[in-house]
Amino acid sequence: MESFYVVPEDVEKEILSRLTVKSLLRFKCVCKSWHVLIESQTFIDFHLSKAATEEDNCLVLHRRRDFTKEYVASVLCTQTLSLLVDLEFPYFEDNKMGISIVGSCNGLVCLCDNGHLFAVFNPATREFKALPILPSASLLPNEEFDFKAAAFGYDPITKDYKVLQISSIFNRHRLDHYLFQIYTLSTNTWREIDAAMPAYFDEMYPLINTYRKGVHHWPAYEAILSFDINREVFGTIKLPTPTPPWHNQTLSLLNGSLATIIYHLEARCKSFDIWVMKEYGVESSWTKQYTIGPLAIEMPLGFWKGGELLMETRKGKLILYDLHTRKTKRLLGHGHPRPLQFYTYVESLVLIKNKNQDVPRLLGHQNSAHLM
Amino acid sequence: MATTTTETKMLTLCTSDKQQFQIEETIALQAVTIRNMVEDECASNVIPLPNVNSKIMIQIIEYLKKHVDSSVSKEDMEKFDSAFVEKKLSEIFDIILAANYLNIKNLLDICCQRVADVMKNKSPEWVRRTFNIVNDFTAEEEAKIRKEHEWAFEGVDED
Repeated sequence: MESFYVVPEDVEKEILSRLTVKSLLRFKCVCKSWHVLIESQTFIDFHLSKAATEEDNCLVLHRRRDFTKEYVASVLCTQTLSLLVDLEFPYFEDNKMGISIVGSCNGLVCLCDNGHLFAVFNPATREFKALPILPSASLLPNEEFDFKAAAFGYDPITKDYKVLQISSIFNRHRLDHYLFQIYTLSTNTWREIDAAMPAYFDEMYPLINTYRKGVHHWPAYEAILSFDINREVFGTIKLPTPTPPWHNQTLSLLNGSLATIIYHLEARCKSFDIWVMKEYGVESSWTKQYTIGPLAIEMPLGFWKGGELLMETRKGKLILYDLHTRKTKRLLGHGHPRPLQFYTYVESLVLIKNKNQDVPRLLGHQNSAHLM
Repeated sequence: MATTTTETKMLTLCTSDKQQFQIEETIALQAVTIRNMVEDECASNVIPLPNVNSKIMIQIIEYLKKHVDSSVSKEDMEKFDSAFVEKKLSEIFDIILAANYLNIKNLLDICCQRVADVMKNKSPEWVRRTFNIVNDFTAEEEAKIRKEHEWAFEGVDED
């Protein structure tokens, strides 16, 4: 049996940072100094930065093909493309029909059911947190409100996580304005914000947001809508080309760059134009990088593994298309048509509950902001 | 393309067991520690490396020689690297200590990855023995920590 190595501390940290979360949770009991190290924020960040240099796994929300038609979120491995784990949602036990993934960021996944209940969980550590119930909007007598979109992401300035919920307010059945509510993890509270939305969501687009370095992006009417999580303001990015009638766009990230996939909505066999914004925010840097198809595809879901496009077939099957070899692969056995949701996912040790948060939580949500 | 083959600059490295290795400077300079010594001109003809023995030095030179060769494809380099770390853990640890001292980042990376891959499914007891770590928890403390993440102990290799 080999033994007797005095490994320098920084080398020890290098080795541990390459372990999976499950192994690290097991090795917390090796000795006191490892326990402190593995729980420390610097190590959690270091471990995450190591994982970020690897290809992210794929998190896909789909519905079981059996009679339950239940939603299930599966994590697929980058290397083998096989199923790593099906995630369970104990919190949404009563409502597995309306679940959607709000976002996946730094190993945390945010889920909601039609904009009512929200929860954040870390599938790798199995830590779970139900968010406080969204305060109901104050409405005028003729007004009605409807869940429109939500987003979850990391504010790199305050090092905090936020959920944005957008609701449409209708007056006599006509869209009147939008309501914006933000949840902040460190204070565990929801609040309303004043914001102006400079572009309109188009009903046709799947309202899945694309998160990039502290900014959310949604496909919108003739534009890309952005939301800066730290400054809490919206912006727009011009599309490379006006969207032709009956065309749709799917937004995604291709090797870290914002990319939009434009395709005909109704055609049975579709061609896809892939535009990449080479330099973020610079509209003249849009480049048409690929045109693929025609393929018998319902809709593209997003890019994975650098050069592969994940797509959904008309029958709800998941297909991976290699942009370079132009070959397709089928992923996962089960699936019920529409809507599939795809996010990239990286496992992490990131904690949802920070320790000093316990006090305000015991005292109730309303007061917690003042106590922080 | 090189038009002249004259004057390949050589460096002499002297290991802890007083063995001397003559290698091309371009190969040796991949080690940041050696590069700094050469740049600071504190290296005379012979560079002493008191923390590396000759057995490890031979392996490190093998690695550096491969990595200086820009004609090797990325794929072949990965193949070389994964074959290179197919060693006993005790040897890997020796290389890690040397790579850390010589500051050869990618060598340190692949060796740390190798250790992590071996450790992945091991028990805490195995880790303590291998890293020579004394368990400073009381039995109760350890039991409590284990209970927090009981599922993380599923599927662990037998020692």
